[in-house]
Amino acid sequence: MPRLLRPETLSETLRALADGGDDTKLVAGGTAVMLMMRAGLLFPEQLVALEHVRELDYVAVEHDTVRLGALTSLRELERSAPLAAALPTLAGAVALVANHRVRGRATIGGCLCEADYASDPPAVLASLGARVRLKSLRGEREVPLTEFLVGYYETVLADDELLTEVVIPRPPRAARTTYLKYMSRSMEDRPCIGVAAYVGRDDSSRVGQVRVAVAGATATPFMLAEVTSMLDGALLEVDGCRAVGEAYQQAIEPLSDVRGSAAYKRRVTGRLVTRALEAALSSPRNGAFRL
Amino acid sequence: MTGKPDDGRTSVAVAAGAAVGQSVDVLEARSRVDGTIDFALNAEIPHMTHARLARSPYAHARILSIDVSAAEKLPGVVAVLTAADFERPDAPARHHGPVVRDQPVVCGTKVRFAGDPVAAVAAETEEIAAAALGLIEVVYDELPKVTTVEEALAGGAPLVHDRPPEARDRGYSDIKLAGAGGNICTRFQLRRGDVEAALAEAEVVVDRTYFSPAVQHVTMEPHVVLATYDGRKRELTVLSSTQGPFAVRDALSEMFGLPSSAVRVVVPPLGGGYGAKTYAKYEPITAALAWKAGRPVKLVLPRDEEFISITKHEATIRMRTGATRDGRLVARDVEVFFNGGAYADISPRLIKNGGYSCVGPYDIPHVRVDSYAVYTNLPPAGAYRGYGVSQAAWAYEQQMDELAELLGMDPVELRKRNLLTKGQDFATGETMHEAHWHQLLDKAAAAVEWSPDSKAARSAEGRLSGKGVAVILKSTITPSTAHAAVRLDADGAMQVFTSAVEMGQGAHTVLAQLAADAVGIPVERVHVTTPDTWYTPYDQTTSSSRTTRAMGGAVTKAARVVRERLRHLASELLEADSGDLVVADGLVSVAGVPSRSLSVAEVCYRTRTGSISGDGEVVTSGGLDPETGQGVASDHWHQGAASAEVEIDPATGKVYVRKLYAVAHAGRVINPKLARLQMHGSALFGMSHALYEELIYDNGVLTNPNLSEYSIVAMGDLPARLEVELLEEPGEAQIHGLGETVLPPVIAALGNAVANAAGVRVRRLPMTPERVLDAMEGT
Repeated sequence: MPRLLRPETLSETLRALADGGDDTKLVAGGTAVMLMMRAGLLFPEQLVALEHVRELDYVAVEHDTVRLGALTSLRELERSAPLAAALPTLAGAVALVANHRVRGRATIGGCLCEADYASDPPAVLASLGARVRLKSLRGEREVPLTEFLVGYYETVLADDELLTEVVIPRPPRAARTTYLKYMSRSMEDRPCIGVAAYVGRDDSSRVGQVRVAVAGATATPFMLAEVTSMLDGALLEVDGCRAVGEAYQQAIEPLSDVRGSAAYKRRVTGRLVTRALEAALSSPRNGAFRL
Repeated sequence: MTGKPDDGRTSVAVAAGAAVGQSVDVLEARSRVDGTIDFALNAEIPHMTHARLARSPYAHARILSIDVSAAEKLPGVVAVLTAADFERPDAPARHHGPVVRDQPVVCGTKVRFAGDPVAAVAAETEEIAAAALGLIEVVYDELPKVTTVEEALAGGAPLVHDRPPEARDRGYSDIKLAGAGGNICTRFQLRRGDVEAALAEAEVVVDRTYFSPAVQHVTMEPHVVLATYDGRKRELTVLSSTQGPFAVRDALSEMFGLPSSAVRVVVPPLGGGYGAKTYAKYEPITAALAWKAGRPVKLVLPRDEEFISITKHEATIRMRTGATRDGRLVARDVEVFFNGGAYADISPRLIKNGGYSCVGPYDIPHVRVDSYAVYTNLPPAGAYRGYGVSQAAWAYEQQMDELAELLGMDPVELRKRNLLTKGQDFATGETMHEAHWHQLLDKAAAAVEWSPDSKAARSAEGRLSGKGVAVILKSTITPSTAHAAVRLDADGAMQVFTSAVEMGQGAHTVLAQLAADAVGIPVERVHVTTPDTWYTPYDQTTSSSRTTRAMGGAVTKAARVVRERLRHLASELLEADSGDLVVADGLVSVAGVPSRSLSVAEVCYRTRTGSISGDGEVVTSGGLDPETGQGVASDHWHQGAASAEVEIDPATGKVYVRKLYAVAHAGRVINPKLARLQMHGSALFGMSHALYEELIYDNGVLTNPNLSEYSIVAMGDLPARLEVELLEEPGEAQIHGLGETVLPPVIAALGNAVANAAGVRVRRLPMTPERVLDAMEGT
């Protein structure tokens, strides 16, 4: 069994990481690391358990941004009234992850650092333009989530760094957001395909920036900025939604897994991207929906 | 209930009473929830060691060498067991199996599936045992393998067993081994009438093939065994999470060459069985390791190893059914291929039951069934809730709908024209003494507001909706034997001695209810013992939905003997004929004169009686001719039906279950609440098999041995309406088991509902969204 450290503050944690090297692993809720260890995929010599680091457990809804402490559990996010008011789609999507026992343990920082491709929060946060704050004894940096996630279970996090905070710009009041979580098996499953859509709007009938991120198909949330940027300032109608869906279907190169073959995921991606955009435009309510 | 003890060996009829018919809570419900129940998992004894198993990474390979010297030197390792240990003169036998002795305790010359054990380690801690596994060096020479039935039966296919395995000396009388050869483990055949001629003359014939995959039981509690071998006394004691204490005792006594009295099997309450824990599973390897170690050994199977322990049989069923234009079935020809995996386990019985069950609850004059257990290089398949009937019903109940479509007939009407009625003969030639299928089918159809012109519809959201029904029959293990003993103590409390296993199904609760009423004492005064082969009477197995009927009958008879003795003792004290005495609520009184009564305690005290004992049994008989499959397949028949309403999203192919309804013939319900829970469990198992579950192998290696990659039904999947119903008879009635009856029809009803909604049929389980979409879009 690996050696276990239980720091109580952020600075103790960063010290432990700086001293630890690459055989040291952080464990927050343990819903990913413990399973990987049990499956023999990870053999850390030292574990830094973060459960006593209370200072990274918060939801701060501010005027322009929402900041989430990395050690806030998914269950806390799901039940946070301020978060539900500010970012209903994120709060709703988090509530669709696994079951409440898992959500009670899993943390938002751990979820992003796990970088599982079949995961709901990264896609939703990517569509919202979230950034993550990384700290080490050397200093700190803030990177867009889309640059933080680089591959299957792979991030840019250095061995001595800790993801401390998720920073999400608050969408304009008229913006529309939605998340469709499509599960091909049981309701506690990971997404077969998840589609997070963000449609920036002003008070006119034209749309501003549009972002669509697909979960469950590719190593990191799949986004086609060049396709969605063509919609800037356009009148988004049903045809436009379908065109975006078709473009996603053409471009995406999904992997096959137990939830569906590559060909199936490709087909479903196109249809659900269209559906998510239509929902974002036609529904008066932002939120996450399970299919 | 009538007063006289039943001297016959058959089951008994009971009526509702003070306890029977009441929704008594499961006796140990609270301890199951708060964690204080003593599962085998919690067992600890002095000097206990912990086991882990070294398993083959290859599906089929010759073992060139095994070197365990480094593992043995690891501090904390107590013993490492390999095939070499079995060469010692005092060693136990290295092979076991309930029917065919084909399963090595640890492999010696070759491995036959990815996961076959090659060594076992006992160590001071489980972590040390796990670390030792990494130090065991096995050199393999990989062999060509067969993983599908098709590969296994191809000409020149590699043989899973190089030589035909030996049958066990004392097998089960209902199992006739026939047709072995190549990779065929055994075959069952049924012949009735002239199938070829009848099919040639039939006005319509449907010919289709249906597939069910291997799935796993996923019991919450894994297999757990704690074995102690006392070399001085030559005694073996095993605490095990088994459904079959006596089957395990007999397997170990044969393997160790010990009299059965020198093998003691104790079974605490289980956290689920579903068939996975019938017959010896991990008791042989744990006991052999304890023999080698000279210390007690405990094995707790990790979850990923549960997935390769035992499975529901993958089945490919080719079925041809012929009928007249007006919908009379004339002939059915069936070839059933059950993928048995590397070892026979109980396949020879299961393929028999799964074979004749393909006829369904229908009157078909000409029938031919050939059912095969096929060896492959996959983990062994064995008993699974439904016992071959799920796979059979998936085929025949879909085929009934397909036939109806071809005839342009309402599928419910087609069934009604062919359902067996009371007094008719089943395809085995046995008479159906009870036949409730018409009523069951009517209820199932009504529950989904079935009408002959039920057509698929499209909802406002663009989803396609459809309905389906299915009706099934299921046998119970026959012949079978259950014995019980009951002891009424002088203070009015009662002990029920039974080897029936409490695995969460509530068996001990219903046995207490039956015992309480049969004597006439409050159910709270009844205690049901833990099975212990040293002390509790023989029972064949806790499986086959038989416990409430068979063991319940044995307990009832035993309790009635006790009541007779009690009345006899009281008759002198109450100055009345014992026939005029009634026992109720712990009081013996003169019928019609409640003032003349004595408590059980008073009767015992005044007659200097310490305890009053009685025993009872239920022994059934039957069997089928190996050439024709004619005879008695089942002492009685479980009868059930189901219906479903589904919606399909045409964009994804996903099936949403809106309503599930299941109904079973129950005869007399002992505990309505537990009976309904059994039905709920079966219905959700069925839904899970219909839509989600499948073990996926790549090159014979299981790719989804965890609950993230292998999906089972979750609470969120429950249909908005889940309804179950029990058909009861008035007055005194026979008890019918309910543990499995509605699992098979739920799968088939969902299949028919999906076909009704989609307009196309998916004949391969599970009906994943991808398979449904492919069928709908013709890709």
